[in-house]
Amino acid sequence: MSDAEALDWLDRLLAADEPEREAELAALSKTHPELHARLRRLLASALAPDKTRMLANPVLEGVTRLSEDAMRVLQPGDVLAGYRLIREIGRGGMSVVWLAERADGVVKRNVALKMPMFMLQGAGDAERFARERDALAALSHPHVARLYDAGVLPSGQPFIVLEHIDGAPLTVHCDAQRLSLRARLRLFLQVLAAVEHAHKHLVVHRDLKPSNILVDGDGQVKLLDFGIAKLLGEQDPVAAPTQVGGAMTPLYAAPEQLHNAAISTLTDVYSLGLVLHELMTGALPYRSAGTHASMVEILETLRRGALPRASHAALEDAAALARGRPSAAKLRGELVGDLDTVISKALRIPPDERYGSAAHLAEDIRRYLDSQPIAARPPSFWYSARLALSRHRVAAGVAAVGFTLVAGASVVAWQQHRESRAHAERTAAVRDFMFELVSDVEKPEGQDSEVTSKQMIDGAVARARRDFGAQPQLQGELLGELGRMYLRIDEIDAAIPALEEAVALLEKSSPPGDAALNRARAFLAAAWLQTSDDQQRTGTLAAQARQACNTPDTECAKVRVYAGSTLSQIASFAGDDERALAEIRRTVTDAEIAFGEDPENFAMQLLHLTLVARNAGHLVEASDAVKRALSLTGDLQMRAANRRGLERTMAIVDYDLGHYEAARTRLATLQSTASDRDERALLARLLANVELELGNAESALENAESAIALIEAEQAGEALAYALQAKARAFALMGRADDAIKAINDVQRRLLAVGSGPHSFEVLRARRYHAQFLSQAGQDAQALAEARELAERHAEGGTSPIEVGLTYDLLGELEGRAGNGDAARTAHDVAREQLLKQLPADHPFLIRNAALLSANTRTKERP
Amino acid sequence: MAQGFEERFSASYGDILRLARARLAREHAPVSTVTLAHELYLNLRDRADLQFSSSGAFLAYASRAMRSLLVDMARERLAQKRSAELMPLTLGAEVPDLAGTPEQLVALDDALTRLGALDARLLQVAEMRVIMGMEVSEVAEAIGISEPTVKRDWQRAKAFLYEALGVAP
Repeated sequence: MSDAEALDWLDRLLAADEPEREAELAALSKTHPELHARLRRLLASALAPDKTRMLANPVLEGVTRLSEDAMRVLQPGDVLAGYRLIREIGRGGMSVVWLAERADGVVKRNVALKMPMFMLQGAGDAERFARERDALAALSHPHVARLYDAGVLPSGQPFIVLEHIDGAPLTVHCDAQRLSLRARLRLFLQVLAAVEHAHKHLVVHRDLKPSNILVDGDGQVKLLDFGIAKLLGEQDPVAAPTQVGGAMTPLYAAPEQLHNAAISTLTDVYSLGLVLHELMTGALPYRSAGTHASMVEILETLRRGALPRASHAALEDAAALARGRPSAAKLRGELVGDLDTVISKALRIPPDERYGSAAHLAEDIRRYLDSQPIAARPPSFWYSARLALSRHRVAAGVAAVGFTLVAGASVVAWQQHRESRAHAERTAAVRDFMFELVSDVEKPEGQDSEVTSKQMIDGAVARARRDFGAQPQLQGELLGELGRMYLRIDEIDAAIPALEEAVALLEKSSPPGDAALNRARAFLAAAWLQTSDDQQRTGTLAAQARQACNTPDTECAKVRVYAGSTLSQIASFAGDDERALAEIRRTVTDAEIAFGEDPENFAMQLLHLTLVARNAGHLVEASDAVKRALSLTGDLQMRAANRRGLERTMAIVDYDLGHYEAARTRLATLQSTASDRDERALLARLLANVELELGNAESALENAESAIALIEAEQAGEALAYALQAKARAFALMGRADDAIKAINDVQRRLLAVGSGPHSFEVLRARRYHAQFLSQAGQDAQALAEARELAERHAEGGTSPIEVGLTYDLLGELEGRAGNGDAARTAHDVAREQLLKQLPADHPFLIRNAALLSANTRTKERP
Repeated sequence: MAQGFEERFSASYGDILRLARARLAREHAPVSTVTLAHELYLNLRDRADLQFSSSGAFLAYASRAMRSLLVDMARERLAQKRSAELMPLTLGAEVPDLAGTPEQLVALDDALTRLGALDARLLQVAEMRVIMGMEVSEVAEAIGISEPTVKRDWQRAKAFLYEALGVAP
C-alpha cells in the first residue's frame, strides 16, 4: 500500500472520533492486517506529544524570533546609539541608512546613520573595528564626509555615524548642470584632493564610485564612505559592491579587487580612473554603452589586457549635450589625445603602471587644464599591438578572473596560453560570439532591473543552441565554456545540462584527446561530485578525461588536475584514504606542469596532498608536501587566508612529527596576528595540545580555557569537546587527577552526544586518557581494566596505528605496575610495532616507548 | 500558491546558496548556524526581486531556503567527517555545528522530500514547524488555513516523518 494511501487513511482516522476510529481499525485488522499494523503505528506517532529531540526542538532555534527582533522595522523616532531617527534615506546592497539627529538635543547636527545588515562576530572583530574607526575618524578634510562615530549596539548590530551630505552624485550633478569637460575636471580635482588626503593618512577608500562622490548645495565635492568597506571587514568586493538591480556587479572595482590580490592606494587610482572616464564620456569603458555592464563583460574586457580608449567609447549625443558639445563626434574630438592618455594611465591593469598616486593624476589634469604638456606617455606601439593580438588569444574561460576555481584553489590566474593557429581562430570565434551574446541578451519579462549573471548565461545557452546547430564542435565548445561559467557562479544545476550537452557534442566532433572535450568532462565530473549520488559514474568520467587528455601542454595538464582532484575527493568521501592519496599524488605531478608559473595554485594542490597524506597516516609525506608549498610561496603575495592556512598546516604537521617547539613558535606567531574569533579558537586549541606535549601545563590550561571561551555559545560540538579534552589533560599534568577525570567524562559524553560512536577513534582516545587519569588518581585496578578493554577494541582493527600504539604503551605501563612484566613487555613491543608504521624512529612517542621498555626490563631484573 | 512558489524557489535558491557559501568561504572558519541563518534571513528580506505578497509567503520561502541550506551543510560535514583526521587536531575549515548530527539532518531532509512528493501542504507545515520552529497559530496564519487543519496536517506529517526516520512513537 502506497504512502499516499496511508496518509489518506490517516486523515480519515484522525478526523473521526474514537469509537468510529476503533471500528474502522478493527474492520481493517481482519481484511488488511499489514495495513492495519502500519496505520496503528502511524496513528500512535500522530497523536504522540512532540518529544523527540529533533522534531521538538526546531532546527533553527527561534530564528523567527531572533530575526524579528533585529529586523524590527525601524521607525522614525526610534533612538539608537544616542541618535534619533528621522527618515530612511538609503537602502543599499548590504546596509540601510537613516537620517538622524542627536537625541540629547545638545548639539544640533543631522547625521547619516548607516547600519550594515549583519553582526560582528566577537572580540577580535570588535577590536579591529575600533582601530579602523579611530583611523577613519581622524580624517578631516573639506571634501571628505566626516566619520563621527562607529560602534556596535548591544544587540551586536554595528552602526556608523557619518556626516550627512545633502547632494547629488558627481555624475548626476555634472549632467544636470551641463558642465563642460573642463568644468568637470576642476570638480574632479576636489575629489583627488580628498583621496590624496586619505592616502596620506594610510586610508584606502576601496569603494570609489559616483554614488560615493556627492556634490552639495554649495557646489562642493564630498566623498562618502571612506574606508567603510575595510571597517566592516568586507574584503571581497564581489560580495558587497555596487548593486545593479538584482546582481551585485562591481562596476568600479579595480582588477586586483576582482581577483582578491593586494589592495593599495593604486586601487583607488583605478576606480578614480573609471569615474573620470564616466565623467568625460557618460559611459564606462566596457563593451556595452552607458554605465551598465555584466560581470562577464567586465572580466572579458580586462582579460584582453587593456581597456579601450575613452575616445573610442560608444558615445551618445545625449552625453555630448550634457557636456556642452553639440554632437558625439565633437565630444570625441575633445577626448582624443591628452585626455585619452590621462584616463588610460589611471586605468592600467597592472597597478604599478598607473599614476603613482591621486596627486600625480591631479598634476597631469592641472597641466592639461593649463594647456601644458602632460607627464603621461601615450600607449606605446607594443602596448597597442598587444591589445590587437589579444583578439587571437584563446577564450580560456571567459570568467578567468574573480571566482573560485572548481579544483578548489581559491586564487585566480591570468591565463595565457600558446595555441596552434587553428585552435586560436576557433576559440576567437567562440569568444566573439560570447561577446555578442553578452551585449544583447533579452531581459526576462516583468523585470526592469539589470540581468543577473545567471540570466545572461541562460540567454547565451539558448542562443548557442539555436544558432550553432550546424557547427557541433563550436556549439560544444561554447556550451562547455558556458557550463564552466555556471560552475563559477555556483549554479551547479544549470551547469550540468550545459556540460552534458557539451560533452555529447564534442565526443562526436572532436578528437578524443581534445582539451575542450576533456575539460568539459572534467568540469561535469566536478559538478556531479557535488550533486549526484552515483560517485562511480562521476569517477568514470573524471578518469576518462584524465586519460584522454594526455599531451604535455598546460591545457591538458590543467584538465588532468581538475579530473584528478575530483577523483581524489571521491576516494576521500568513500573513506579510501590510500586511493585518495594515490590520486592526489598524481594530480600534483600534473599540477607542476599546469601551474608552473603560478605558485599559489600549485601550493594549494600541495596542501590538498598534505591533508590527504595526513589522513592516510603518511606523516612524512605530508610534511614534505607542506614544506614544499611553503618554500614555493615564501615571498609571494598570497591571499591571507591561504597563507595562514599553509602556516597552520605546517604547524600541525610539525606537531604530528614531534617537532613541538617549531609547532609552538609558528602557532604563537599566527595567534598574535589572528583577528578572527574562530581562527583564534582553533589556534588556542592547537597550542594547548602542543604545550601539553612540551609539558607546559599552565600554558596548556590557559590556551585550552581561551579556546573554550572563544568557542562557547555558538558551536558546542566536537571542537568544544576537544578543547575540554586539552583542559582535562592539563589538569592531569598539574596533578589534579580528580578534576581531570571529571572533565574527561564530560568530554566522552559530549562526543557521544554529537554522534561519535562508542568505538570511534575519538571516543577510544578519550577513554585512554580516562584510564591514564584513573591511574594517576591511584585507581590502578580500574585503569588496568579499562586499558585492557581498549586494547581489545583496537585488536579488532580499523583505527589509527598511533592511537593503538599509545594505548598499548599505556597498557604496558599499567601491566608493569601491576607486576605483570611479560604482559607489559609484549604490550610495549606491540606499541612499538604500531608506532613505527607511521612515525619516524626518533619521534618522541617512540623514544618514550623505548624508555618504558627498558624500565620494564630493569624492573624484571630486580630480584 | 504551490506552483508559483516552487518555481520561484528553484529560481533563486542558487543565489542564496552562493551567498551562504561565499560567507562561509570568506570566514574560512566556523560560522554558527544561527548567525548564518540570521544573515540569510536579512538578505532574503532585502532582495527587491523577491516580492512576497505577505510575510506568510516569505516565511514559507525562508523555511525552504533554510532547510536546503542546512542539508547542504550537513552533507558537506558528512563528507568532511569521512575524510576526517585521525590525529587529535583538526585541519582546515570546520562546518558549523548543526542541531542534530549531520546524518540525522540528511535523513530528515530525505524524509521531508518524500513527504513533499505526497502532499505539498504537509511538507510546508512540516518545514515551518521543524525547520523554523513556528507555532501552530503562526503556521496557520502563514499558509492561510485554519488552526485545526494545521494541527491535523502536522499530526499526519509527524506520523510520516517518524515512520520514515524509524522513530518509535
